[in-house]
Amino acid sequence: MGLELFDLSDRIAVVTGAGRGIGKSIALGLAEAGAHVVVAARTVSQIEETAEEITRLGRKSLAIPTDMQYAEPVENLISATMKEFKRIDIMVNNAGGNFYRPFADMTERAWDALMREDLKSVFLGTSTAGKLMLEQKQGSIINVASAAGFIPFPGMVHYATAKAAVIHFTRSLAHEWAPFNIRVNGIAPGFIETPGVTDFVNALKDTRPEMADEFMSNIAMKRMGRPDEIKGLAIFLASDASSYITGVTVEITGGMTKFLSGLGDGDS
Amino acid sequence: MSLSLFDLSDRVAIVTGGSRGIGRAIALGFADAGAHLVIAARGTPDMEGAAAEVRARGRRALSVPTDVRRKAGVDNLVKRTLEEFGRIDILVNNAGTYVWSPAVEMSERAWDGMFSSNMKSVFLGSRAAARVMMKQGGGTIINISSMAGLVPDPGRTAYSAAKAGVINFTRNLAIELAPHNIRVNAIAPGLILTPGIKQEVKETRKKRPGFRTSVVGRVPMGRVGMPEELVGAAIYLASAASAYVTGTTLEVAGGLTILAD
Repeated sequence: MGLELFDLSDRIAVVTGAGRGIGKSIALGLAEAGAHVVVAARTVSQIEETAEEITRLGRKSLAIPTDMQYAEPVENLISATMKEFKRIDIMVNNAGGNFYRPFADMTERAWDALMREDLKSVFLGTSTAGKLMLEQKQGSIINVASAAGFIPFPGMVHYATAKAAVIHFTRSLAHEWAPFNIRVNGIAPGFIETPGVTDFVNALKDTRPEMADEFMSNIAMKRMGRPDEIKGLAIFLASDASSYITGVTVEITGGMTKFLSGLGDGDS
Repeated sequence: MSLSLFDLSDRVAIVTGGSRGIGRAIALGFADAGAHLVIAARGTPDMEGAAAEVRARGRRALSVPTDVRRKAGVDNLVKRTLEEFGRIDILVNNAGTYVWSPAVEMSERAWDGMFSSNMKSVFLGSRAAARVMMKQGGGTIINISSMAGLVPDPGRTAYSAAKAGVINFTRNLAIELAPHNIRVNAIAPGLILTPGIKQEVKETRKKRPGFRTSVVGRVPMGRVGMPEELVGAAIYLASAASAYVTGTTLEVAGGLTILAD
């Protein structure tokens, strides 16, 4: 059987937010496909656990505690990667965060914090790794956006805005860096059973069960996704199987057509 | 190393327009990934050649001369597939045609022809295969649309409109068929160097020197794509690797955002 197209043997990947959820799943998926993976996140114990699992798959790994919101730790992440592996083939900007807040209650401080966590982190990761990829004249960058970047998400205007920015950042940079053989693509997950989203949905079931029902009815597959269902897309976009794909953000939502409506006018 | 997520071993796939260009590349790619193939096309010698290449890869292959614009043709394709393999796991609605014709100069007949070959064919193929997949308990359908279905392609208005139709057909059908465990997705190729495109570029160059350069100049990657570069997207969408993906259209276009000027 020939699946060499998807083979990532001995490629060097960096995955941010790799301590849990989608990021951890992507890191393990890339390792299963043959890559050596540098894992970054704020919580040391979690990335060490991910790194150990990667090592057990027979690949090399490095766990670098990193706060992706600031230039200095991001530079440290990339220089540590270069010291160990001498190159970066794949950069996955996955780290990010979210919280629920109706727009009328949004403060400037909270808005800035969210933009730093979800958008500036993508800028810093991409520009720092990208400089090396420009020298290498080769690389694949994958930004984890969200279906919220395509579909309105009442109660999370800040998050939807930041993720839409990530999608257009991806498209614009793909054009700018196409001549240098660097592909830039995005992944837009819908509701995936990560610890954070699971807590959110459970809270909804308790406080507003009718909304929880509506939420599921908006997904064609009538179920949430699992973090390990993102693996295939990450491998595809990282590998030569997507050699003619750049600037796109691929949805992985189980066929979601809208988020919750009316979430913003309740109290929560 | 494990790439089992993308494995198509012993799946049965139908590829329409599978005798050449993008369809042939996808059919051979599926065979490389382990699938058995049914090649449907209008009965050219190319079709048997594609089937032979599948067999050379150690998979089973059947070629069925098919006019995908006619219900009788599509029904026969499905019937022959079931006789030979007993199931359909994957359908790729790839067959299609295009003409260059500004809308105001286009005849009603030519317009209807564009919609028969590009849109009705997708409806007929999907309906016939979905009925089988519903009984089986699942399957996956991949419709080959075009970047012309997402961005304007002046001079090919009918083609462009039909391909846009395929994209929203895909989105709708995905919702209708999700309860039956059938995923429906589309691929939107940009400028791919198929035999048809080669011919068109050659003819246009006679009239407009520098045409090729201007076409390629619109692609951020600075080159046209090869049919083989559609294979990864097709395997991704056909396999368990995309288990939580339905209703989407995947662009394979080298970053292209505008077709003609």
